Amino acid sequence: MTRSVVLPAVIRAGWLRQVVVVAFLAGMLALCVRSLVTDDARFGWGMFGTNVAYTVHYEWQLADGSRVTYRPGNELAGIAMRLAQAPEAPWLPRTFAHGSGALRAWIRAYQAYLFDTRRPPDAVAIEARLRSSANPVPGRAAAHADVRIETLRYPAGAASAAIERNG
Amino acid sequence: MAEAGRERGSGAVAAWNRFWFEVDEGYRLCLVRALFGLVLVLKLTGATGLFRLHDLSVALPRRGVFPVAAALEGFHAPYPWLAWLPLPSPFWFARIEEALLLLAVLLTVGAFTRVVAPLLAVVFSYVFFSSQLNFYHHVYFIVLALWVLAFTDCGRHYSVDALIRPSHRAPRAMTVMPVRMLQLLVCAVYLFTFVWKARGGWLDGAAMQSFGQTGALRGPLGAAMASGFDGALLGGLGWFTLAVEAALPFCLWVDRLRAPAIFAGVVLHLGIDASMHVNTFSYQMMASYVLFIHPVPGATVVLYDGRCGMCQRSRRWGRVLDWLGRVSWVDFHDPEVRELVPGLTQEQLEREMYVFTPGGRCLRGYDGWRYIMASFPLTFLPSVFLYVPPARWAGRRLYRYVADHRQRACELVAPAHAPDTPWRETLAAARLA
Repeated sequence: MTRSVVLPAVIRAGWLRQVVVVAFLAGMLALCVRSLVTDDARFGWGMFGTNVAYTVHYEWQLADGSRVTYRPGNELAGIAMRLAQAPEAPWLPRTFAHGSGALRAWIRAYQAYLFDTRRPPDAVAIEARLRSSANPVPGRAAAHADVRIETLRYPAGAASAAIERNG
Repeated sequence: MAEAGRERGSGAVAAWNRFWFEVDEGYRLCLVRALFGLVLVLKLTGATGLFRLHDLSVALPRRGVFPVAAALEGFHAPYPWLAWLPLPSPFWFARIEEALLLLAVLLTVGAFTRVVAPLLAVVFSYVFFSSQLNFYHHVYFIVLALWVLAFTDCGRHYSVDALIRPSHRAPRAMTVMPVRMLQLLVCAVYLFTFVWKARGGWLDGAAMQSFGQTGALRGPLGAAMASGFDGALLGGLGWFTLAVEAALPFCLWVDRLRAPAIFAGVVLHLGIDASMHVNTFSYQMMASYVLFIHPVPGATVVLYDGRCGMCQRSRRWGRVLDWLGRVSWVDFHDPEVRELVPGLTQEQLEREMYVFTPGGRCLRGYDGWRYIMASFPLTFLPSVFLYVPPARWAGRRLYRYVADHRQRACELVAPAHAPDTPWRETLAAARLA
């Protein structure tokens, strides 16, 4: 039995209060559903749903079609250091717990920053090659985990993705 | 201008209005204000995390909690739509950190809350959105809670404001709307966290193993889990986590399931805090459980012997522990009580204590005492052991012994006046077992 023993007095709700309530519910629900659809846990309460291990490699694409590797420097600090290319390692060295969609969105924002502020004169685009794996377990991962490889391009271009099946 | 009155009619619209706009005394909201203020103080001083209890240190304030200064010269905003926000210079950012700590302390003690709560919401939101923390869930949760508190009279109780308020100024009627918003927010956190985990690798234990192997588990409990627990055990912990997160959004609303749900939630969050670096998240969620209790102030009624000195002392201790004002202590010698519960005889009432819950239940003796203990914040966790079967068996006998011998230990004292709470409604609605 959950009935309250005291019949509640109710404050007559004006339209503004009703709008606030409806907007609150709609906003909360929309953000949560958006996070699920885009695999982006930010603002959607999905932290620690998946442990994404990854490494990322950046390349400028020049006008003549050649490519030049870009190594992030001191423009990355604090938490954004996660976007830096990790040292060579037998396993994907960085982890992210907010969903692969959030990781991609963050990399795209960083690419936009690079393109706007650090673009070489003859560069036409910057590409990020992202290798990621969901919930890997080092040691047994080489035999069991699938590694997803995708290329993110800025300005927007044809992105590619492939699954590299180990073992 | 809001007008308070009884909601007429029935149906979905009336139920909607009752759910969102019934009058609320504000006790829950004010306690949440104090607890969230305390959580903020912990965050800003860096005093969080059972997982690093051995090297806990405190700073006033701890610099670098918000990594704004680190990003001044480079990339800082994961969201392009936030790139326009100006970043403060290191000098001004240090002042902002100090101001945040001061505002958090004022919010905790409830001083100048009508100014402090909105100001804290604005400054904290600015730091949140302009720093790289703007995807961290626990900080986002604080931002939302602060904005709800900013628009309410959250300093009405448990506050310095209440102490210095002129006695002739009665507070205005307040709706339960902000409490409902925060309640639904808490439920959304658990529900969508569950959905995210259920579609990931939590069901087969892969996620827990992965977190353990990639260094996400820390501290004494985390280290043991990462190195000593096998896949099946980690999988079991994953299932426990999923079960609690799935159950809480529903069980928190059900009177009889609320206490075990809160207990399970507290165990879950203490476990998380002892094994992972989740900052203040665990404390925030545990603090938010307060939103689900205390439906009506003083609506839990204890019928006690007002002529018994030992019972009077029990009542005084109970009132000290009753931070939320949940319990009305009513002397059963009051003639009005006898009219409201005619089914109880004088002999029954003298034999043992009777507790009437807001849900209409009547509990006697040890069971009532146990319920009261579970109602007080300080004794909630220990009271769980009173529900273990041997404790119940022994407790009933111990209570019986003390009750039978209390006359010898008692002195006659003047009876207390009946409290000004809705205890009459509780007794009128009670179902006697």
